Amino acid sequence: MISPPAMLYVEDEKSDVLLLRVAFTRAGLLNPVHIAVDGAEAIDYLAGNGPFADRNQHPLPALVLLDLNLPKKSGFEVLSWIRQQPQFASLPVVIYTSSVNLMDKDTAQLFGATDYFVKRRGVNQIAELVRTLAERWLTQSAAP
Amino acid sequence: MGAKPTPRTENPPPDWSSLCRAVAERAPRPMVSVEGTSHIVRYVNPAFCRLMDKPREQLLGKPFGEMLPEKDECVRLLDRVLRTGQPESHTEQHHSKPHPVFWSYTMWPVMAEERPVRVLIQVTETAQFHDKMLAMNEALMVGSVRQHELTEAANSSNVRLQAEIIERTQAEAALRAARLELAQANAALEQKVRDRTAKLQETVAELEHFSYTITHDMRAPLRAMYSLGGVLLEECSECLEPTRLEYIRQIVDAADRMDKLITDALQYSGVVRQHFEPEPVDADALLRGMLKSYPEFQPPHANIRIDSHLPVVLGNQAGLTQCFSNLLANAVKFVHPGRTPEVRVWAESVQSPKSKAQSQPAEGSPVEHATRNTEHESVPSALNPQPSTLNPLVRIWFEDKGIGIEKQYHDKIWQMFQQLNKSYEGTGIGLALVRKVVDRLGGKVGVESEPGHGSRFWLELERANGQPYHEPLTPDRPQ
Repeated sequence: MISPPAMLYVEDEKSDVLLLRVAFTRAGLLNPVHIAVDGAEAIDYLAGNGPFADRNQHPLPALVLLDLNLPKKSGFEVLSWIRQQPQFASLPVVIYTSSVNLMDKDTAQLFGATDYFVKRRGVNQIAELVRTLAERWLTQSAAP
Repeated sequence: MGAKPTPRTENPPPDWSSLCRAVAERAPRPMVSVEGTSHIVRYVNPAFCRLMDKPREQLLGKPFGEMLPEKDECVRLLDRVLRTGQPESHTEQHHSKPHPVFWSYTMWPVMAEERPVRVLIQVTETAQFHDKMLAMNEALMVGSVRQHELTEAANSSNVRLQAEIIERTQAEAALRAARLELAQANAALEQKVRDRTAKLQETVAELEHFSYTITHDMRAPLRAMYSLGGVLLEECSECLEPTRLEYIRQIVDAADRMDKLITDALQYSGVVRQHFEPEPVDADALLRGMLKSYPEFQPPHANIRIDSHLPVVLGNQAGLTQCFSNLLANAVKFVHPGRTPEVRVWAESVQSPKSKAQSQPAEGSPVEHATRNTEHESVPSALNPQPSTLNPLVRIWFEDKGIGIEKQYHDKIWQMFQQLNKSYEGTGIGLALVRKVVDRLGGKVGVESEPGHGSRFWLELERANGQPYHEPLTPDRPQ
């Protein structure tokens, strides 16, 4: 049995990670969610550096959900690194941030973000969002 | 020698020659007798010797002309006397001596055989210009005295002028020094201003970073409180007693209010800080887009109708988004419980302050008794009824059928943190934000309202393309 496509959530805020997990459960999604707690770890994960070389434990994601304000390396740095890797040229990267700054949205688009969402409050609202994301990027057919 | 023609008489003639000689010898005036065409001197009297300052022997036998200061005219005259036998007299016009002495001559012919053979000459030395010379001398004296006086005056005024020049030079030097000092003070001041500005900009940048950190870092825990509290409320509605559920609800509500307060305050401070460069904004597209993307502005939550096509205005996309969303949110929020909000939006042109009368509601309108008593503007209308530009104005109305506002609060509602009715949630920032944005855009805001009869809020802005706005004739204009 093939496990459903995985998602990498790059987020330093633990409560947001918890909310997303709850929302995933609410939405009835079985896709594994892997977490990177800062920008550098996100790049290590995708590049398969160190412990992330084990793709059974750390499979390549079908979708990256990326916060912008991150320790070590910012979301924009991660995004720009991803777009420089030929194997990740078409990897969906969705920005998920608390920033309502229009300039951030423009910058994200410029760096090649697939979509941009402002963080939502309320588990049901978040569940609604992840359901939409999963339908687009995390179905078997959408998997790479 | 004789001075008269010799008369012919029977008597022996008198000795004129010796008589004349005796007279001549004693005459006070110089006398000379000459002979022949070369005017050889044959006799001089003692007076002539004194005049010439020479002894007689040195004078006799020489041509008379050689002794004269000016000989030409005298010689010519002598010739004439010898030719005509008539006496003549002559006064010299020029002199060549160092001192101005003029000779005049009186000449008599001495006749022999009816012919003049000699000429007797009496010389008079005159100094006819002497008086004139004296007068001239006197005049010269007076002149030199005057000149002296003038020189004195010139000297004293020179001294005065020099003193003045020194004074002026000193004043100029002092002025230059003062100017230099001023320039240095200015430069120091400018440097100080630059330093302070740099420091202020640094502070502002720090504050902005602080604000950003607040949005990001403070809102994350609030999101967790709100969202996870919500999960508890849903999942434990059976297992927890109502009092404890209420505690959780209070926590969720508090987190919610806190989050809204933070975002609203940040938005307001952003508007205060932000410089709005007026740009054409399609108000119609902006509003319709907003209605489409917010479910709370759509049925069944609310009935919002745009009654006329809104024009392109001079504004700012982000600023007007905040204005529209706040006005719509208020219109939807402040309704009697259980009622579906009814909101109408339309635009009308404003030509002049007088034309505002057009905006008065028609007969039978729910706000027909409303009075225009609130008008916030960036410039006093009495002094400057029209904005500085010539663009026609347009007023965008937001009318609701909500709870309305008492007249006494029409001014207050635009102030920060003013919440008239605590039974409706809010932060008291929305209308302050609207007013601030419109202020920044050089426009006006206002309200007409009465409790129980709904409210009409309006924004007045410039049209972007300078064309007056003509409301389309829509049958469903609010009546």
